[in-house]
This record gives sequence, structure tokens and C-alpha cells, in this order.
Amino acid sequence: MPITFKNVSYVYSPKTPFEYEAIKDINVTIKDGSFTAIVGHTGSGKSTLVQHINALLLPTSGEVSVDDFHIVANKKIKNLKEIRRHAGIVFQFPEYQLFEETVEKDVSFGPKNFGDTDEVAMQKAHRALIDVGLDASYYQRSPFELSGGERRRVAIAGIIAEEPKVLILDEPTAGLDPRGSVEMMHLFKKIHERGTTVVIVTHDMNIVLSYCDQVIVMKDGQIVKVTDPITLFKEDNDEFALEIPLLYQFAKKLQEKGLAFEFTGAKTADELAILIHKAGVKQ
Amino acid sequence: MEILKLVDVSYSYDGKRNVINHVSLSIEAGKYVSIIGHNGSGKSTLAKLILGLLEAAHGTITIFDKELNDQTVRELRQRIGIVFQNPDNQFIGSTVRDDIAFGLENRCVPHDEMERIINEFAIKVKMEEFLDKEPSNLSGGQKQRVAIAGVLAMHPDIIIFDEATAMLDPKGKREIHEIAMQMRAENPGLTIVSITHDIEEAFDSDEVIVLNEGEIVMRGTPADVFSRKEELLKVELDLPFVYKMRNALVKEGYDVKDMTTVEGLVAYLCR
Amino acid sequence: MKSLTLGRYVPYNSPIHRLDPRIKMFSLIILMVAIFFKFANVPMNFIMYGIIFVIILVLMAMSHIGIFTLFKQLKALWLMILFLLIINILMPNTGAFFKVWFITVYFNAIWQTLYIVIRLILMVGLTMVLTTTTRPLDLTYAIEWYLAPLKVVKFPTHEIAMTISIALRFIPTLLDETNRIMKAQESRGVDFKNGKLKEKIRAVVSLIVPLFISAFQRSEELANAMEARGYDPSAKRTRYRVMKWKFRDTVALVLVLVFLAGVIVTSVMRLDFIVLLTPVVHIILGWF
Repeated sequence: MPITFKNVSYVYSPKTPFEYEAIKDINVTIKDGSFTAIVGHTGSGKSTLVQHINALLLPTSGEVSVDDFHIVANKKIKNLKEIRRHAGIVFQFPEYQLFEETVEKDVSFGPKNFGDTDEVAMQKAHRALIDVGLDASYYQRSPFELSGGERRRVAIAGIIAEEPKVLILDEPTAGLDPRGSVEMMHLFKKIHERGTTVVIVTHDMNIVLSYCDQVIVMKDGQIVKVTDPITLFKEDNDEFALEIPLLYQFAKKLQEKGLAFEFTGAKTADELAILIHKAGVKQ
Repeated sequence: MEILKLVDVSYSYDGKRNVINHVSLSIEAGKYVSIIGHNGSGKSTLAKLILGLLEAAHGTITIFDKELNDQTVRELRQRIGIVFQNPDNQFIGSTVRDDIAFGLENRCVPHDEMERIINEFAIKVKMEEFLDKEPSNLSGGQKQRVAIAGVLAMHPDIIIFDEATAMLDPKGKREIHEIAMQMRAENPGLTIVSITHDIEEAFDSDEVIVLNEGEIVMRGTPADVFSRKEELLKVELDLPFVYKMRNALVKEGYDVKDMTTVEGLVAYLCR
Repeated sequence: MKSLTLGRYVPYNSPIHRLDPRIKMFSLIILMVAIFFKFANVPMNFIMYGIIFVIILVLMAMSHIGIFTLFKQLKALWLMILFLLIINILMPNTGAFFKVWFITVYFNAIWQTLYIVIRLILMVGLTMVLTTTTRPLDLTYAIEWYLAPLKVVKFPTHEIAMTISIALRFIPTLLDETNRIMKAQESRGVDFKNGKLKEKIRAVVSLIVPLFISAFQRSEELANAMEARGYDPSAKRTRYRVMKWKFRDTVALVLVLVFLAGVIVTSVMRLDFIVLLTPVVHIILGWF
């Protein structure tokens, strides 16, 4: 079942001088099993929106449905722990939340909180660590002696170990080098292929282009567009302050200069070159 | 004129593995040099060695023709400015004003001149409307701009950007890059060293130095370095888009193998 | 967290806001001292406290602070006040008394407890005036100035002042970070509000450890940044923010000292205003 937002609004610090409506009257559905990107300028409400999916924030009005769970404004929330287990969030720079003495203890922390026995939690932790590319030699090490990239993978393993049906990622590649970025996204692609619904908040349009099948564009607390990546980049999006992938900027420049070619959604430079060739552009 | 020179420099954090391994390089005054490498290649360690924040276990560092050591470090630091990666952890003052003033205070700039200097450099980085704002009310890009203002106010001969855009969103990255380009245009004698793993940022430098596992593996103009695709992939780096596009077009039979700009590729295809 | 907002600096351009932080600090100490003087008799004590209270109200009005803020601040202390009252009343004392049930209540006990309570209220009120009208950073500069003489004995006044000002600058940042870590751990099933003691301890650990680690990394990066910008506490440096003593500060100083002198005289000479003013009142009434 999909994730649905019905007339959802959220106000920070209501009835104080700092009152601020971060999202207004949101209506959107995130398809089950999709790899959805949420994009928009800084301050458009992306983080506020996704924090409703695991009930970190409760809507000040409206209703959020995540599979069988319903979160209704002003109504007391039941099964909070189940919701949190069902939808896991990896925040930006997650390496800063590690605290346990050993890697495996930190990764098994989530499963234990959600009711797993120590053995089951440890098994899940080991599986998750293998997923993120950390072998058994890491289990007993202290998270604090690892490199930044390794710590990030431990933190992500901590959420994967909870085996959530929905995985929410807030700028997971922030600060990573090119290789690290690619490895990270491959991991999420693998998890997506297992059937997990993946929701990613990102500024990196290249990621949106390469991995996502649905894009939700936000601006000033509202949703302004819901579409697929290729349609999004074909259209004119200056008003949404999105950084168009360089590939598309290039294709647009060519089309502006009068070059006629079938732009059927290339995702890499190689694919674009093939399209250009196919269109008969002379060499 | 050689402004910065490293000869056979090595450094190790744990005494076992060299994070910087017998590195020798020299940088000429007035150049914009990018030092690129994957995370963990030793880039930031290099920056700290040049600033004398870490002491090389082996080798010599010569800046402005003076050898860097305990006696000269304070004097040499006065002519080098550095912008670090974390916008919060280099913002010392309680407001934008106070932060720019911090460097002036250390340099014993007379009190009466401080106000004028603070205003001048806030305007240069377009932060004059934010002079009394606190850091918690500023974005990452704005905080980095304040750091740059503080550095510029010291009139350094060398500015080092140590992964200064790594923690910023695309808008912030662009802002900082634009300011760096502006600085380069306004101060031809200024030497800029940009340490980064963002390949597009290295695109318009005069020279690119590629670091891997604490050693220099490649060095040359962007056109040289980015044409060596296999070697770059081996050290876990990517190519800037222009070079990727160029390679893809060459594969399809287009004669663009010497192009180095988007404009060049577009012009060729649309001729 | 909400209680941090009471007594917090509120920017405004009142006469009190404009005073030099050094004179405000000095006045606070002087007025606190004045509160602890003993006067001729019970009514005199209450009269003097009343006068000081009026002064505080005037200062609060001048600083644009609502009276209710004072009572909100005191709400936290009501329990302690009640506790004090009960303890004191049950203690044996001297002088006149009356009996309630089987408890002997001495009037002196009542007065003494009231003195304590009133002094507490006055001290809280005075401190509030100071903290609401003075930026924490300016207070730091004032403290640094007062401690300056200690530099002779190599006391690290500058370093301490710098450390305090950096700590102040980072308070909002640390609060944000705490919030973020709490959210991350809540997403992993931590409940910061409910749960058994063992779970609560785990919850707190999952918050404190990351904050500490982050603090250590932060301090190292800050130290590097400060050094790179030429910071040397032992070397000479100039100052951007300077406190300028103005005429209004001298006026405030004189008023405060005069008031203190008056309080000392009234106390030492055991003046009794009621006794002194009764003939004056008679004279005035006689005119009508």
C-alpha cells in the first residue's frame, strides 16, 4: 500500500513568536515499491514532509497513511514503535549519531529497541553490515576509530538492520567523494530491488535522473509537481530552483542551437551521444 | 616565482602508515591550483601541514622562500588564508561582524580602522546586510562567505580552500565558486589552492594535482589530467561532464577529442 | 527548554539597555548588598524592602520588561518558598507567639521567613533586570574587565573570557545538534519520555555520547581555525568591541552609591521612618 498525504499541514512552534508553517495542505501519494525523490530549494519543506512518514512529526492538520498505519492530526497515535520500525529514516551526516562501544552493538541497537532478542538483533546487524560492505573484521571495532565513510556506512547499516518497508534518506551522499556517492546509491538501489520503498530527499539531480522513478517537487511548503525524472528535466524548471543535470543542460543547449534529435530520455553521456548520432548529426 | 614548495614531505597520524608519503610539489605565485583526490587521500592533511597546524615528520616546506618551522610559522601564517570545510567550526565571533573582526584583532589592526575594513569585505562577499546576524541564522554558504571575508581582510598572498564546499548545497557551492573566481579576477597576484573532491570545481583551474594514498599520481593542466580517464578511475575519481561527453561523442565517431569546453562541443555539433 | 527563555536577553533600546554592562553589574552587586541590611524594627524592614521593590519595578518598567515575567520566573520557586516557610515556622524562636492547634507559631519566625522570601524575590527581580537588558557577551566583557587586575598574577582572564564567549556563540548550535540527534535516535526506536529506568539510561547515553564526540571534534577544528587566523592569547591583540563609559553611566553610578549610603545610614543609625514621619504627618494634617 502506498504512502498517502491528505491535506497535511505542519506548523512549527504554534502560538509562539516563532510560529512557522513549514508545509501547507499537502496531498500526494508515494507509490508502493517506488524509488521516489523529493526535491526543492532549501527550506521548501522536504525534511518536514518526510519526517511525517515515520511519525517523528505529527501533522497539525490532515492525515498521513503509511500502509496500514494512519496518523491523524490531533488524534493520539497508536503503535508508534511499529510505525518507526516500518519506516526508517537516515538523516544527513548520520555518522554523527553513533554512540556504542562496538560497531555491531550500534547496528543492533535499532532492532533491539523494536523488540528483537539479542541474538536476532545481532544476526540482523551482521547481515546489514555485509550489505553496506563491512565484513566481520569490523564487528568488534569501535565506531570512533573508523574513517568518516566507514562510520556513515555503519550508521546506515543501523537502519537497514531494522528491515524497514520504507527507507527514507535525507541527502545520503552529502560530503561523499564521487566513488563513495556511487557506492552509496548502488546500495540503495539493491535495497530498493528487494522490495523496499525508497524515498530520497536530495539536491543532486544526477541521482534523481539515474535512480528514481518518481519525483516530487516542493516549493515554499507546497508540492508544485509530481512526475518522473525525464519529464521533469525536459520541462522548464527555472522557477523551482533545481540544478538541472549537466547532461540535460547540454542537450537543451544543442536543441536551442537548432539541433534536431529525438531526446527519448538518455541517462548517461554515452546514451546521449548515441541519440545524437542516430539523429544523423554529421561528424 | 615559486611561492610554495614541498620537498619530500611525509606525515603519519599513527606512526605506522604515512598519510602523506614523500610528497614533493611546487606552486607558482598567481596560479589557481586544484588538488583533487578521493576522501582519505591525504588532501586535508596537506593543507594542515602547509599552515603549520601539523608538523611534517620528514621533509621541508618552504613558503615565500622561508622554511616553515617553529620560528617562522607565525609570520608565514599571516600571509596565508584558509577556509575550512565545516562552516560552523570556523565561525568564532557571535555575529558576522565579530567573526571578521577576530582576524583583525589577532593582527593588532588599530580599532579605528576595523569598522571600515569589516564593511569593505562584507560587501565584497555580499554579506553586508547580515553584519549583525548570528551564525545560527545563516546558511552554510553564508557562513563560508563570512569566513572568506575574514580571510580576505588579511590580504593574504595564498588562499587555501580546504574542501570548503563539501558540506554545502548546490546553491552554496556555486556561491563560493563564484567568489573564488571573482577573487582570482580581481587579484591576479593571488595564489589560490583549492582542495576538493568535486571534479567540476577543478575544471577551471590553471593546474590540477591528483593525490592518491598520500602521493601525487598526476599533475598538469585540466586538459591533460582529465584526458587520462583510466588513471583517474583507478584512483576513484570521476571526469568532469565535458570530458565524459567528449569521450562519448568520440566513441560515436565525432572528431572532438581536443575539445575542452561545453561551448566548443556545442559549436562543433551545430556547425 | 522553555524556562531558558525567561531572563533571556530581549533586544530593546531602553535607558537600562543602553547602560554600560560594567555599571549594571556593579549596581546589581550593590543593590543585592543593600537587601541584606537589617533595619530598626519589623515595620522598617518591610518599608525598606518595599522601597527596593518599587525601585525594581521602576527599573523593570524602564527596561520594557513586563511585571508578569517576574512572577513567571518565581513560579518555579514557590515550592521552595513554601518549604522554607514550614521549616522556619516549626523551629523554636523567641518573642510573641500564638497557638494554632498544637503548633506554636512565633511571630519572629513568620517575619524571618518573610524576610527570606522577599529577599529572594528582590534578588530574582534584580538579576532579571540585568540579564534581560544585557547581552551575555557584554556581561562577559564586563567580567573580563573586572578580573583584569588578576592578570598581574598570571590569571588567564582573556582566555576565560574568550572561552565563555565561544561557548555562548555555540549554544544555539548545540541545541540544534541535540535536537537532530534526538530525532535520529527516536527514529531507531528510542523513547526519551517513557520506559523503564534502564531504557531511559540507554536513551540518554545515545544522546550524550554523540554530543560529546562532536564537541571534541568541534573544539579541535575551532582551535585549528583560530590558530590559522593568528590567534595567540599571550600576544598583544587589539579589541573590536570596546565599552565606552558615558555620562549616563556616571549618573547611574552616583545614584546607586547615594542609595547605598542612604541604606547604610538608615540601618546603622537605626532610623525609624514611622517615628520620624509621624510629627510631619501631624503638621501637614494640622494645616487643613
